[in-house]
Amino acid sequence: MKKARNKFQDIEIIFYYTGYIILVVATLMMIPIITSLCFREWGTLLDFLISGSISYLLGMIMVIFGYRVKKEKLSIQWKHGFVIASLSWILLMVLCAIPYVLSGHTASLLDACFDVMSGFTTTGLALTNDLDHLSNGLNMWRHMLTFIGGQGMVVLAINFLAKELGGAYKMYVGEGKDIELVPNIKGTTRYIWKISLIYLILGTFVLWVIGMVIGLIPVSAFMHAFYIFSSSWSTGGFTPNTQNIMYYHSFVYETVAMIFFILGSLNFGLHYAVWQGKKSEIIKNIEIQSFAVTSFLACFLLLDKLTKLNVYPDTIASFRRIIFNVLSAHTTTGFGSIYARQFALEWGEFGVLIMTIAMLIGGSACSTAGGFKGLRVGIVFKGLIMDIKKLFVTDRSIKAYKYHHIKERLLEDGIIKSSSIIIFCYLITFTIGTLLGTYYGYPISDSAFESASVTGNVGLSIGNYIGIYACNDESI
Amino acid sequence: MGTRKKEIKGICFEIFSIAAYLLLLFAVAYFIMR
Repeated sequence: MKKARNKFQDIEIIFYYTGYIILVVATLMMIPIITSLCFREWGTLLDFLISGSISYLLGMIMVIFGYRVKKEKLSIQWKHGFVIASLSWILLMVLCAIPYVLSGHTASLLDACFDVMSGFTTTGLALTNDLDHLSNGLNMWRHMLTFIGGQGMVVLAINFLAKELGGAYKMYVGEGKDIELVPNIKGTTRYIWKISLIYLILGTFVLWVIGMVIGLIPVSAFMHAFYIFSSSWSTGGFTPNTQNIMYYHSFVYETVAMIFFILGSLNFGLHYAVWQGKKSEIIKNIEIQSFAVTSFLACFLLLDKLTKLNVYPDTIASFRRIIFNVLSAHTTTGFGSIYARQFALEWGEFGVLIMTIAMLIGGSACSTAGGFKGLRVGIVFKGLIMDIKKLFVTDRSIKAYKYHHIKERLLEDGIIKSSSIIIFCYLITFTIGTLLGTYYGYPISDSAFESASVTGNVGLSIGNYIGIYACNDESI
Repeated sequence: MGTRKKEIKGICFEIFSIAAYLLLLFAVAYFIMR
């Protein structure tokens, strides 16, 4: 393998690999095409044929432009990996938005791009109009995007094109992933997709059965099961209707969705460890401990407060409203079982604050969730305990402090410092968002809620920005 | 034990662990609401 000698060769490398990633995602448009054919949605079918053709054409042009990369065996460097991952996301955002624009359900290309990026980043905010009357093809596309986005587009492309993509690891890191389940990157991406696809089959089946039991017709129950599972697993929060999860009026449906969005918020490394027989990992892992403590405290405090306020009449109602929404926020899913404005009007300032903190913390690192992650909360907390303990021992005593994350790791000052810096940077972004909200005249608690929601890819909304009749994330 | 059997056990273990945690939260809700 040779290194690129000049800028033109850099561009050739970037075009070649980005072109391949576009071709993979363009191929995926076959799924909504088949869906449209099955449901005889000819307009949607045409939209996807046009979008697919444009995507294929662009992908092919880019690959042909960089054909010398394969011929001269040019290798990818780190700078290429980062640019390829970023460029792929930008180009795919526009290409994947074409079916939205052609469907007429979005006011502009910008709105369509917003929706696509919301899906890719598993945020769940939507600007699509008239969600209840979207075609099955377009709904399939929206939920596919959020499902793929959870795992990562580059991760997907590496799966299909491991032979073509020589510098896969550099692109993989470029997309923000760093976990290695098995020694090679192809094996790692395959295992990530294996975990997701096995749960996809299992989750869709379970939700399909429950959907039929609660009164949906089999075909509709199946489609809804796929949509809700995709959104749950990827912690996205998209639903095919404006009522969000309330549409189903089912305690069991909500509880099963809860199980899958918590599973989706767990580290892929943790799934791998448990699947390999290391069951104790689910107790010992610092991320699980951190999530269990913070989510339990959030649920407990809110249950206590809202019970005193007599907001909900019984245990079932409290479980379905309080625990569901707290866990949805904490895992950065964004499903809502109450209307957006109820957070402010019924839960009060305390409820909004708890939800904001839960959204800021988020799920696990190397998962589909957002937030500054339970891993960092755990590390910083353990670092704090370590510093306090050090105050009570003599200078001569040396003790190694450890934390457990897949394996025993040394709790070094460097790791505490880097975790603190990431949390600090994250909080700066959150503060800027809150400041912007207050600048435009919204109350500070509403601004903080919305800022935490968008910073952490959650998708819940407090409603003030969109009118009091708006439902959680689906009608911003 | 075969890899597939291990994986199936792992999936069941994950699901039951989360279900158990939700049950605990439900119990907490019950005691607070009582």
